[in-house]
Amino acid sequence: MNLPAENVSPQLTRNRRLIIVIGVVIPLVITMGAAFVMALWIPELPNPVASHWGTSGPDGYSTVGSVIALPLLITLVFAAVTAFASWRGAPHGGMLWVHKFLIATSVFLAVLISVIAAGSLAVQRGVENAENAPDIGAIVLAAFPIAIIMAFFAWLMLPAAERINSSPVEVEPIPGAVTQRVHFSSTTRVGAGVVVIVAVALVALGAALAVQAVSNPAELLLPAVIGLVVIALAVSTLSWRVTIDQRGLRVRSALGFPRTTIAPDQIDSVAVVDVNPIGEFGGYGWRWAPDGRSGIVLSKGDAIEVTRMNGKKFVVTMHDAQLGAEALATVARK
Amino acid sequence: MLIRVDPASETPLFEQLATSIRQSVIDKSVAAGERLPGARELASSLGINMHTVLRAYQELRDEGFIELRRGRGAIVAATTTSYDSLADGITAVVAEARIHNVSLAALTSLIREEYK
Repeated sequence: MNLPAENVSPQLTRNRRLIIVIGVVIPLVITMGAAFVMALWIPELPNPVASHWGTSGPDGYSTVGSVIALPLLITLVFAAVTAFASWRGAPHGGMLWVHKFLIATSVFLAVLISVIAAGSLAVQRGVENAENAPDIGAIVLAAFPIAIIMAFFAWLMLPAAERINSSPVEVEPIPGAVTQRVHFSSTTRVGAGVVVIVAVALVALGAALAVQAVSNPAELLLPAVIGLVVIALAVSTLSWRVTIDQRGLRVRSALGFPRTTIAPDQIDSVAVVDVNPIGEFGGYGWRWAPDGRSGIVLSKGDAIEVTRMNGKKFVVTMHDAQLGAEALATVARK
Repeated sequence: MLIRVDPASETPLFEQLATSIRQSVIDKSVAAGERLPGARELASSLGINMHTVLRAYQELRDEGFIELRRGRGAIVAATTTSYDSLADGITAVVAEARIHNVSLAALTSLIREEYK
């Protein structure tokens, strides 16, 4: 990497080396090794080879070249995404949990698809016609534990994840008589960048459903139902209505589901906290963080953080979090 | 947007409600075109009578702060009036009062006298 002079901490330099070695080089070496072995088998393989198995033997065929190339291509793309996403590191130069997860997944994916591709070709060596290829169910089943163990070792080689220190600032109730009643309402939604990513994913999903509808209408129902539920949930959870009054905190997604309520007597304290969606919650939407917090995480920046009586924390990101938190503290005081 | 009312106060509830919403429009914590909570919803949220909310909404409509449309509820009007200079003036007055250690009560009564 020949980057322009950049003030990079030794820790980040070390981590970047790990990202490249474990997240990119090792997965590529594994897939290239598998590709090399598979290439050696070409003279013994039928042409075309079986590449997809149904319940009663092979039902899809392709050239041996594509079976060898596909794992390389997938690994290359995923490794590139991993390196790109984790390159900047955590705010203090460490590695985030989500970065470690991506790197381990890069290894997992490379091992999994290499074992399955090589295994599917290994059983076809010496077979004259691909239609007689034996079943590969056992190979697929074996590939998963192997890939998981390799990913686990990759995880162990990475440094401990950097915790983003969230420092919630507890808020005071709005000054005024104890008899005052408040109503706070706000709409919180994801930023334009997230909308674009979701739109692209949903268009891809819609296109996949359309292809299925044309090519195999008989098996359309299940994918269509799952697809429509996913689309409805994704669209619904991009925008939430937040209401705070004497009944507590209510959050309701655009279509009315999902929704949740925290009653005033369940609230221990209310704070405002700065939230990093990717770093702390691994993404956007209704999320659960590794540190036990859950919440509606739609944007980077201010959020209301409610600590319940049972110690569990619920977070809602919003632009007017300070005002909302004060309103909720007022409600919870009673 | 934050709405505050105090049933124990001597000021009528509809007036408190109107004052609270008016303030939100002026300090821009609620934007033009934004929909206010429905009268029934806001009434049950604050534990007050729905007609009290409607009365406050009607007053705000007469003052040109909101528009009431059948079936669409109350919407913050796109007023031609800008309250920016008023808001700036208030900020300046409060800052000045702080410098001279003028209490909030004293400042309020000064403003009240001037307003008469």
